[in-house]
Amino acid sequence: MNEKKVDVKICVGTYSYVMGGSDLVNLESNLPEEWRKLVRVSGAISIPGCEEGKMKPPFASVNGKVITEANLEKITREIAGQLQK
Amino acid sequence: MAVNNNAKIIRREILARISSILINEQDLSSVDRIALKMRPKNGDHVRCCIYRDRAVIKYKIMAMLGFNEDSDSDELKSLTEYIEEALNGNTSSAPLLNVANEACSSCQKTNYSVTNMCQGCVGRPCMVNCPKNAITFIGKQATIDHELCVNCGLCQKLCPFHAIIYTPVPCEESCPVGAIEKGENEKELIDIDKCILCGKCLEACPFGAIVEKTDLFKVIESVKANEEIIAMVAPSIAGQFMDDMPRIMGGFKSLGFTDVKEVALGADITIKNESEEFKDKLEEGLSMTTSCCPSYINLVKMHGSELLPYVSTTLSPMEYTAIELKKTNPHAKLVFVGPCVAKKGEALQSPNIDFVINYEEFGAWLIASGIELSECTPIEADSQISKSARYFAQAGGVSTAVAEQLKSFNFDHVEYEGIDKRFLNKLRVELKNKSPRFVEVMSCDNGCIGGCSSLTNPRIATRQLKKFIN
Repeated sequence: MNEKKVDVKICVGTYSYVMGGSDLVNLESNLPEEWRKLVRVSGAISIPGCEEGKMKPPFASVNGKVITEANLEKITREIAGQLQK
Repeated sequence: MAVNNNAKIIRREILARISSILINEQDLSSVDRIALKMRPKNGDHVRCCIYRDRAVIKYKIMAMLGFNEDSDSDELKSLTEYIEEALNGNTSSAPLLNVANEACSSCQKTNYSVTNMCQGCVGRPCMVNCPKNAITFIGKQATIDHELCVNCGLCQKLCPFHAIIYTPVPCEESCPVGAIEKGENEKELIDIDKCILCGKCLEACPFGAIVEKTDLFKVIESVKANEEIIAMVAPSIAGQFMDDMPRIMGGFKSLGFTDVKEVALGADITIKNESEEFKDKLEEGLSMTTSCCPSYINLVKMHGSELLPYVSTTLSPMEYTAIELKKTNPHAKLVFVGPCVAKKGEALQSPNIDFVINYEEFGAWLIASGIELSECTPIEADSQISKSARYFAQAGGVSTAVAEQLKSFNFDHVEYEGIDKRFLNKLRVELKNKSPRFVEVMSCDNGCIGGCSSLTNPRIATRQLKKFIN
């Protein structure tokens, strides 16, 4: 089994946070129990490529893949895809 | 309570876009392009077409400025003209909450309906027990005659197949005092003589049709004009961002405020005075309720004035803070920054407060200015302020503070958070029939930290608040 954890970053920069990112801070507690040891969730002030105006907030990234207009469902789907790899 | 949805995000985007124009452009005419930028040609739309979406954005902006659709006698009048009028103070007396008719979906009033899950059973408890004989069967399907139905809900409770559903009108359902109901054309209307400014309709409407008037643009103009202007931040702001309180305070300096002060400063005065007042009330053999939640005060004044003798006359922390600041800064404009629309109403009655902005408006201003809180120079918290004063942000904070202040007294206290349709009757029983006690009332669930304009889920906000205080 691949020991490497799926790396999830939630943008907690002011722009992203005000525009809905505050809902993502609780991501970890919304993940299925069996995923928690396989996923590492952390906050980030800025996600590469998410400069203001170019893409729509809130932002997150899963193993480096940027998710715009992020919500719990979108992030969870991407994590599932990464776990299946 | 802060649960984000697209209607809220649209509101914040509109606020940020207008603020950006005010901050960065000489000419305000770009305001008329906001709807086009938010709903560009060939882009996505939520309603029937982009043109309808754009019209809704226009009317929401008008409502934010304090104009309702009756003001729109000349449909070609530009938003630039409206914003100029608003900045000149022409909407100062406009209601704080408005319905943007164009955005209102006229949700159907029919509350109970039968779905096709109805099995046409032999027992037919819905029909047999309906007190108004509103249910009949057409073939094997129950139908409700809405002329006869009184929405008692008995049929829904009795249906063994859960085939009867209840569809609320969210704004009407959420209003604790029946201040919002349908007017002409089935659009919702707010009765300002009943409205207690709790902001529950603002949160409940999934179409974002209830719009709060904003002072934000006037405050930005004041800062741009280099006026002496001081931000007074409510204790609950400490939980609103992932950044710590000193950085949040620093954010106000970065925006251009002359100074920023914690309203917890005034909360310490409220604790002292309210405790003294409560001692007097106990001697009279009466219970006493808190006075710092303006929505609750509106509720009593407008819908239960016989309870006024039980309500503390102590001023709110916002008012005491303003009084203190005016002593040393008599010419400064004072801006309260808080979690709700009711504080805007309270400030209108105060000679000391010039403007109120909420956390969403503060957040939108930060975005428009390109300010990242984590990069702001921190301002250390005032060490003279007590922990108890900062806990005013959460439900139970005021009564805990008074209990600590009156340690030597033996008294009961009880807390109510989240005013609903039944609350006033509960309060009547509490105040008139029970032994004298201290009664804390907060209109919002979780207290101020769950205010209608907060940005963060109360659970996370509480964690942030505790981190700051301890």
